Amino acid sequence: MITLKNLRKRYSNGHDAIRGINLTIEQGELIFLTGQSGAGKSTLLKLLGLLERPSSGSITVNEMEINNLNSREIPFYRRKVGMIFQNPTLLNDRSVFENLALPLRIAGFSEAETRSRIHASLALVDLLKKQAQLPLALSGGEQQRVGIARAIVCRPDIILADEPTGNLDPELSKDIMNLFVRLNQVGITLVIATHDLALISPLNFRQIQLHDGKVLKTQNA
Amino acid sequence: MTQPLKENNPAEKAIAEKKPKNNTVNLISIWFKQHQAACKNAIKHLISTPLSSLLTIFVVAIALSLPSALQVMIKNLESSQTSINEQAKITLFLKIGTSEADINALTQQLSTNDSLLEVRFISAEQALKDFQQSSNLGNTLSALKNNPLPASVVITPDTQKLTINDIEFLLGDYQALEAIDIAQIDVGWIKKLFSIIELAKHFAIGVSIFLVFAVLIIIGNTIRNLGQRFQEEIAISKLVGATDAYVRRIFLYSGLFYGLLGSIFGLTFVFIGILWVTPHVNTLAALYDTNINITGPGLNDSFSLIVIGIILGLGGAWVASNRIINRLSL
Repeated sequence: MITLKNLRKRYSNGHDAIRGINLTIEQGELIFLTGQSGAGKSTLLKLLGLLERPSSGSITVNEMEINNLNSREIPFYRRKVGMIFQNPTLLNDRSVFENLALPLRIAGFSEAETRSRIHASLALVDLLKKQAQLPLALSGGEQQRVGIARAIVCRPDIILADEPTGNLDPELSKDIMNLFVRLNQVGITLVIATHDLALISPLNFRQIQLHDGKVLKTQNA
Repeated sequence: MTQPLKENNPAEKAIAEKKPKNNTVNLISIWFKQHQAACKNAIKHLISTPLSSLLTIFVVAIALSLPSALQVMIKNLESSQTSINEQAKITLFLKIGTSEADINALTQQLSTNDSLLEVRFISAEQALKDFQQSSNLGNTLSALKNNPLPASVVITPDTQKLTINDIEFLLGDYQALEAIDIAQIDVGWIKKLFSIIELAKHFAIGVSIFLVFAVLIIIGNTIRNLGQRFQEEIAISKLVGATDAYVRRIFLYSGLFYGLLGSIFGLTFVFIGILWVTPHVNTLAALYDTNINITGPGLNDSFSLIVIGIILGLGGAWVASNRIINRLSL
């Protein structure tokens, strides 16, 4: 379970990106963060992934107050959190397999376990046949699926996705959303930031609309 | 809203499986494997950029070989001190007419001194004979009615026990003795040489300190360039849970290899330099009627230079990698 209490984030330039958000996300829940550009969606995801530190307030993930983690503990927290971005941030000089192997090697999995997990992740995103290819040889949708496969390969408790379909056409976007729904069905908590309401409205999940760093509206499933 | 689990798809089932817990043995094995991988990556990088790697190694080698060569030079000069000190023999010229009893008493008194290696009496007759042989003035000297040369006592001080200053002090004591006319030693050039050695020692220390910083900067700069090349990988690695130690590892191994190879090449340069300079030093030593055996860095010195190279490599890499990691602030 994720609990945000009176969460605030002010950047060094004085911009208040998050202005006192209180929110609870149940374990195994999928929620959409919506809102216009500058509403605070990306900042909220960065705070959840500890890419940024909150200015005040608290973030509790599975009974652990993560805003109090020191810099040595953050990497171990990140291993439990899969992050997906609008651009898939892949290493273009490495094969799909090597891209997926990176988090597993960092976490210290054996080669056999690494192969097995990569196989399972690629099977889930339907890219098993492309494991030897370089990312640049793949389409945009395939690259995003590799990014998703990398995010799930360590079997995280939570997946944070920031505009994961932002660069994709509507058909591919639907495929990606369906993939997230399938991941949610195996018990992974997902927090997805998107401004594409048309894409998510047919899906029956909670939507939290942010505006100017605050929760404007919550639309339950 | 919590969705029900669906486990009929094997891939989904696999993703839903929990991560096995690590025990201590596993953690050690993981740590070892990650070091092995970082070491391999560092070697791979060195080989994949042969020109820039060789240039860095050569610059480090030159920077390490200079103080090492100075050190070798100083050690050789110091070890040749014994040979040079042998030139510091004291000659005590006795007053003409000194009785045999006084001479015996004097030589006996000198022989009891532990800090003297040899006390040799040369009679006036023997001195004349030696002079005739060495000067080619045999006939002229034979024509003299009286032997103009005095008897003398030649003393070899123990240079393990006495310094040049001690010997000079001793000379003053002998000069005050009743039977001694002149006490003589030529230590001026030896003193000058030792002053030069002292100066060289200070110079070597200064150069060493300067070059230590130079090596740190060279390796640090190389690692910084390496960091720029790996910037994207570092950022992604940190996003997926890499610790600072994990990120730092490849840089530390690279620094270690630069330091290790740089010091080995540096040692090679020193040995080549010794081979090149030895004939010239021998010629110079012969001019001073002495013998200087040039020896290269011993096993201990070679090992020390390699350890210093490795420490500098690691130090430079540590500083540079910390800057790379801090700049990312992930």
